Amino acid sequence: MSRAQRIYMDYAATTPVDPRVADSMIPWLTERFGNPASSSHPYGWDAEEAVDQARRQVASLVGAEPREIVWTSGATEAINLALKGAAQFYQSKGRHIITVRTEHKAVIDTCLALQDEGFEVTFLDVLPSGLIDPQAFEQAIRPDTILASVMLVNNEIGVIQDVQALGAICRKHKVLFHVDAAQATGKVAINLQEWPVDLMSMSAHKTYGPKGIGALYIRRKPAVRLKAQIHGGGHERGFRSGTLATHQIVGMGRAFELAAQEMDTDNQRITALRDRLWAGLQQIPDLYLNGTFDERVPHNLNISVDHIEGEALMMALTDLAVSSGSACTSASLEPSYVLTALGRSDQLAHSSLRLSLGRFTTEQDIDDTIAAIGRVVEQLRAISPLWSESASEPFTQ
Amino acid sequence: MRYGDAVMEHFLRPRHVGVMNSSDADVGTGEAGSYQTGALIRIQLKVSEQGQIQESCFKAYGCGCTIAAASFAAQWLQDRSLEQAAQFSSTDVQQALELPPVKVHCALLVQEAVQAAVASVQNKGAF
Repeated sequence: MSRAQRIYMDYAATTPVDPRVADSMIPWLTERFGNPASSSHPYGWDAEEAVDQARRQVASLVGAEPREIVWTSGATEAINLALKGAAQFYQSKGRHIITVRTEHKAVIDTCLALQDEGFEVTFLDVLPSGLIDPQAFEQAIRPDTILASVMLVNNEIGVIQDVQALGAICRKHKVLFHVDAAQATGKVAINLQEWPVDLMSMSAHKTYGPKGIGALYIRRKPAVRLKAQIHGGGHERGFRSGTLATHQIVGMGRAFELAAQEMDTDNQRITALRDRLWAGLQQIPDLYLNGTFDERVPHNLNISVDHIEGEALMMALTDLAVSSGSACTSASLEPSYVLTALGRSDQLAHSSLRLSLGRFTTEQDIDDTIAAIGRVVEQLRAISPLWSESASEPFTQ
Repeated sequence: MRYGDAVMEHFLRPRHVGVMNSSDADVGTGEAGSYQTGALIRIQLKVSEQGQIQESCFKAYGCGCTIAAASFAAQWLQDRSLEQAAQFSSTDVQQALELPPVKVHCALLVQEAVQAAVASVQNKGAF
């Protein structure tokens, strides 16, 4: 099969740029190439207006004010700015940070870097559902806690944390609250005017926008202060210097505008596709869902297929683009830390497969996926010494 | 990870998948790895009175390279002598399948399974 015929089931890794988004970006590369910071001529004014419009579009999707949005190169940079910036600015108040074991590496590694700077970090466990126990979260808060960071939608298992409840706990204890929303925009309705969230990181390329652009929401009332991490020119009100990438920003704005317009219909359609997929997959014996089914975006199914290793499953699914939490797919040779944090055995973590659906997934894709997985599971189990041995051949494990 | 054609060929069309009765006097069975660690290979050999391997088969649980390595070994063992089988080395597997460095453990695992299979049939005393 040619590359073009492959079925893309890895929207959680990245999404294609929506053609409408790509169209909106092109003029800003060629004719309308001005620097938004050039305040002395129309080239600059034109670009500045485009950036302002994109800022309104992004703010509008998440219920923020445009002035609360700061452009970054992506969610990883936004997270670095939020966590390092807040920790360094408020360190005289305390040096304790709370986050969760199932966070994305962008948060985990940034917290580890802060640990090296002398901050103390608590990595909270999650329940077998993948959700945080709010009581355990509150109990982790100490007098010297200055910051907590929780992701809204998990990148591996798609579960939705109750950030409104966790944010309320943070407010009560005067702890700053950062939310990583990289996997959530366009999937979960977000309203920062009402949500007790101080900082929120976003990415364009998980929401049908281009790679290389993201944004950080920084609350203005009450104002959150951050120590800048990138210096040089004082762009973005000093939070993040560097010439703005107008075309990328326009693309993110348009992508978020489309997300706002189409989220409800997209979610409805994707839920129906996910239900069809899950019904089909449940016909396979010894197949498990990782993470809760209920508090979850419809775009994600993370399954473990017992007695088959995940990378082998992925390799055998030659027409399907998917991800696995298997150790063999990672350089560390450790199985997914997210799945083991749920209390999944190493064996089941090794045998996991992440299927993520999106705007361009079709019913045919779903049916072909079910058929392909069913066929490959049967083939690999026939090879597996752990599966249905003949009665004459007992092997101890 | 992207693998070479040899790995994909053995992985997608594995040779000599099967099971023999391990209690037969002329069958040697060797296992290496475990379910818990994510890779398990079983190699079985049927040996003639002259010490020639008449048949070999494998079963494997693990990543694509583990399965490819086991398939390669099961094929390699066909018509070899037990003495030759005892010399089977992970380097042969690595070179034939062009395994990347991060997958060297798959070759080591199959070597261990082959050696265990040879020892198992030798321990039965018929050779």
